Amino acid sequence: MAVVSRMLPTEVSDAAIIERSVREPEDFAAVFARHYAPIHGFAGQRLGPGLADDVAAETFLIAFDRRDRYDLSRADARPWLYGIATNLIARHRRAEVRQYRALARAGAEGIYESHADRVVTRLDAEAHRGPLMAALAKLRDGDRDVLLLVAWAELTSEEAGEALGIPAGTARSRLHRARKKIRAAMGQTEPTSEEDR
Amino acid sequence: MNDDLTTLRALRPNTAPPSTEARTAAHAALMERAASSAPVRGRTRRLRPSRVGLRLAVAGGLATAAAAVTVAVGLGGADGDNGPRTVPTSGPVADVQTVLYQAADRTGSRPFTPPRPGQWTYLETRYTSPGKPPIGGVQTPKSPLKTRVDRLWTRIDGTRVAQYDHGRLTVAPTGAGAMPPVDYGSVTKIPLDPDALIAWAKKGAPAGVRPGSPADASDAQTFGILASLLNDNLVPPRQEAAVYRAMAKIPGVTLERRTVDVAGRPALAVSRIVEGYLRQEVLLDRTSYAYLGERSVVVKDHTGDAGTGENGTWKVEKGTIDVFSVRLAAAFVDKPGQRP
Repeated sequence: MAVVSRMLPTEVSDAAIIERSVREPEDFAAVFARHYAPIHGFAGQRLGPGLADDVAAETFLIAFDRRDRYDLSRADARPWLYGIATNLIARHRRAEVRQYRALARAGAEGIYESHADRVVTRLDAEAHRGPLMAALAKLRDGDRDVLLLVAWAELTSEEAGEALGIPAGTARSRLHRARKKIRAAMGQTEPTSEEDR
Repeated sequence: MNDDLTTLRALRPNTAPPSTEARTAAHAALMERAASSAPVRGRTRRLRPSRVGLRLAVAGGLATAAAAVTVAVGLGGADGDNGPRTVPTSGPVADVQTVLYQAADRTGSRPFTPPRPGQWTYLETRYTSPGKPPIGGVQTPKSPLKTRVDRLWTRIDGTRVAQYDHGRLTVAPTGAGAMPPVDYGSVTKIPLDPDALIAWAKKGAPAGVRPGSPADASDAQTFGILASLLNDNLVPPRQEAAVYRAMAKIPGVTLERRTVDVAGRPALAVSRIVEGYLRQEVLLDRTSYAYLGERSVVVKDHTGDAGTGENGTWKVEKGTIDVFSVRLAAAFVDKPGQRP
């Protein structure tokens, strides 16, 4: 008895999958497989667990519907997906702000990961939690979008601009402005511009 | 050095991984949309032989016949492959992450009574393989298979190991620092965060050059260490769930459904190519996701020195089952020699 299975090259760019999915819609499942968990995590960080399920699911449906318009020169689909997710998160601004206020008040326990190599940073960071979360709640929406795409989704500021459909220069200046406020909340001097990513 | 972005990152709220229900529902919604947008075709979309990148024939009585729906999805990984750029997703949903997260959820919530101090872990495993590779010889899928049942007791503190040797129970001290660990105490200490667990496995991976690109070899070792951790231990639920979540993040891990009959139980195989020519499979019960064992299958003809370091080589042909290990029993018992 023979079992035939299909093996794949391990590295196929998101763009290649998306391109293919225009003709083979079910191939889009591979985009989901790669990115669902991080997108869900990002939505959860910004909105809390209650809304993350919906935002993450909706992100992939919208992405699927727009797959024929995807810019195939971009191998990595993360900026595109995070952009869609950010626009969906924007529908829940009040929930988002509530989330940061709650985080500003909440006790540390149970909220932060406890993974060993991050503990030291985290203890340091902990001192800033209240003011920093409060500052996040007060940022301009557009500034916060760029800041969190960079800080939490780990995009570059250029990718964040791509995600939001704004020029790279605009993304950089929004990031700079947001970081200034965050620094102020931490009681530190403003960031130097070369640190801006 | 603690800049604002670092601080903000460190304060990123810790969100639970998506629930199985949410993931499954999101995936189903997407697939439904994909199905309804599918172009009309003259033939069924289930069979697209021209898109098969590489065919692997697994022969022999150990494999059950599978419908032509066995699929695998490549994840991110080493670059530089000139192979066909196909991503088959026909048939049942090819989502190894979904299966691993489901396995993690199911496992993580299973009832578990930790052992008492001084107890022993008992593992009974049936190994089937063509035996030691003969120098100058060739192993094929038709080579006769040998089966042995391994019965091993390990004190939960890892200080003693016991097994039957010619009918006599022999208790011996253990060598310390095995990687992966083989004692309950050490297993309970593995990181539960998937990224930290991967880092732990990488740190402990044996040095040595493996075929494939460095990144690929490293991912293969990580997978191998986590697979061995499951095979060599009675892993408590939280740690076992962490292993599945970590496996979901290793590039190149694929899912094969309905490929293996494990002692009459249909298993799905979470697998990865290791050492360039073997597919190492972690076998999970198709319904309950219970851990059943593991299997390595030769996926391309290979010539090696059989690990003897001696001159001369052996050959092994594609389709040969390198080793098939089935867990027959796993329990904590009070003393060596005792069976559950």
